Amino acid sequence: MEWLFLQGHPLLAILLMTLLVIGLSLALQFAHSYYGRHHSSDSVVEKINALLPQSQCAQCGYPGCRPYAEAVAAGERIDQCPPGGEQVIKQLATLLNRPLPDSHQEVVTERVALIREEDCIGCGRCLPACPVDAIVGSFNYLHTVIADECTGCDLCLEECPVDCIDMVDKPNNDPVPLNSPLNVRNQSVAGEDECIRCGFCADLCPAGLLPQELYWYSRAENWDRLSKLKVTDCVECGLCNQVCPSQLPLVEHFHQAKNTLAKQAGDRTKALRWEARFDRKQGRIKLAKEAQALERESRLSEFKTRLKQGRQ
Amino acid sequence: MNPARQNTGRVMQWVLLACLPGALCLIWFFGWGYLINLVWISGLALAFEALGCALRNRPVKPALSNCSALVTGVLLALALPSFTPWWASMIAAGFAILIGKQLFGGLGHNPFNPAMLGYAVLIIAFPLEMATWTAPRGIVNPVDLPTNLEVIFAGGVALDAWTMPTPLDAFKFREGLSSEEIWQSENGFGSFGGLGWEWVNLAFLLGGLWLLHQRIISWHAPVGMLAAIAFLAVAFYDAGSSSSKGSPMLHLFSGGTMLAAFLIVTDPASGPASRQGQLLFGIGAGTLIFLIRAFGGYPDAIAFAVLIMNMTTPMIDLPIKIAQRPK
Repeated sequence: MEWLFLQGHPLLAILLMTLLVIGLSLALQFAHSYYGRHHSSDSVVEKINALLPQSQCAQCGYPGCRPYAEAVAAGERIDQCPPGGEQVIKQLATLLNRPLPDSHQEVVTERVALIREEDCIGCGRCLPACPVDAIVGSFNYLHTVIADECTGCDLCLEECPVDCIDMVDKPNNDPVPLNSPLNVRNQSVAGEDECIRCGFCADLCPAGLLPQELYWYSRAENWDRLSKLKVTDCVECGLCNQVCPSQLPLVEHFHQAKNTLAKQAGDRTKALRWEARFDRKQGRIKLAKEAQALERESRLSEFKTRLKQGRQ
Repeated sequence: MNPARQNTGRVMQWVLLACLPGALCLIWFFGWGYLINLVWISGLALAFEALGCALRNRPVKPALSNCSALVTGVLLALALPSFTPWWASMIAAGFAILIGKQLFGGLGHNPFNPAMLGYAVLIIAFPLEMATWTAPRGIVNPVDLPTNLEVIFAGGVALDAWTMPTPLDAFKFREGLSSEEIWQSENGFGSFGGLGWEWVNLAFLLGGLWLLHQRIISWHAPVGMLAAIAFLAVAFYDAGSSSSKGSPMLHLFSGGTMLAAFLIVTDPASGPASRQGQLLFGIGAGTLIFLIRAFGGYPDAIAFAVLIMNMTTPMIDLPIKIAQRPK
């Protein structure tokens, strides 16, 4: 009860409270800097750009994926990227803590451009249109699209004067696409038993994983968390399926999670490659322009010199 | 493959079997009221579960066939006093199933133990009815079936001859008598626990040990809870003076201790999923039970202790799961 002396000394009480608040905030800052040091130091624009598919198609209205990323960081709508589809919208909403927009985009089938060789006249107008330089060929010679590098942006279609470019569906290597009825997540869950959180599955897993957590995150389609929980270590032995009292199809969920993560990793590799090609093309164009300007400048000055010499 | 764990319905049925010895003891010592309540409250629980599923546009048959509502109803019936009026038990069952379970998403999604939620609602809203406990066989003969039906469904029966405080209640409010004196004078005490109650707790202990043997539950939560109660009872034991908080035997074998240890804190959905977490959960529940019994305002504290620990479940589970995640 010796703290009661503060009642007669209000100034002392205020001083003590202020010191307490300062002390606590210092402690909080220390805790944040010590425990939060794993937070990435990438800027927001880098993080947004890392989620975009890098097809550089300009369907969003911006000349490339990075300008769109900068716009989104400044407040642009997050649902402007058709090649990214619903997945990119969800990921951007999670990253930036923004509400999901009302528009519902269908899952886009991947397509690539195909030049009909018998119709191509070799005019070469499609070459500068491709943002990643996926079309090869010289003037007056046949042009063709490198299918692996084509991002499906279809910017080349409108350039072709003889309309010889078609968009064809890319053969899909994913055995169970996300929007297929075979996907375990699209099967009706009404009537299925629920997870009762008994923990039997975690007792048994030989890979040392936490199937219960993996199950909930798989239902939530939280790929980032699934990858952190090492769902890729799952050997699909089926012990968790056997022991689950609610007979949940755990292994099927993990299998599809692994498929999706593999596809995302493949997409990311492609996206990085496309971004590199796009940057290289932009650099090449810039250099060419500069070289051209330099050449023009030197020819102009040479002409002026000769003119001056001629007058003398 | 353990056949007992093949599906949720089978697991729940084994749990019901484990309740059987305790239920029989309760019926023998305290009368038909427990049987009537078992039938009435179980029926209500199933009906409310069907209603909840229908309201949520979910199929009713799978929800009923996994017997989880039946288990909630049975646990409520075993926890409530045998003279509980029909409308009070209906409120408890409705609260437990509709609000404690269906509102949160059904099986596996409830953050609170539904039976304890129903019990807590009654204890706060109808304290008089919840303090009306039956006297055990050995002091009075339990009422016959028709009278018991009348008590529960019609009311208005003079019950003074058949009710008395529970042993924990009598011990807590003994007003200055030492443990030995209250044990001799008050004739609600048996050999080592409450009269009748010690048998009930023994029966639930047997059922719980059998569940452990069948590997339906794991030992962590029950051992944590019983060890915490025993340890605290020993720590506060002062050889039975007038302010003693009760001997370990009294605490372990009176009231709903064994029922709670093996059937309430082991509820998978509202408790932690990790085994170490379940141990901590049990220890926390046992600590709270003893503290409320010894220093709080209620003679038996299982419902509140379990509900408070349910609130801390995510906090217990998260650090353990983070530590267990593959690096």
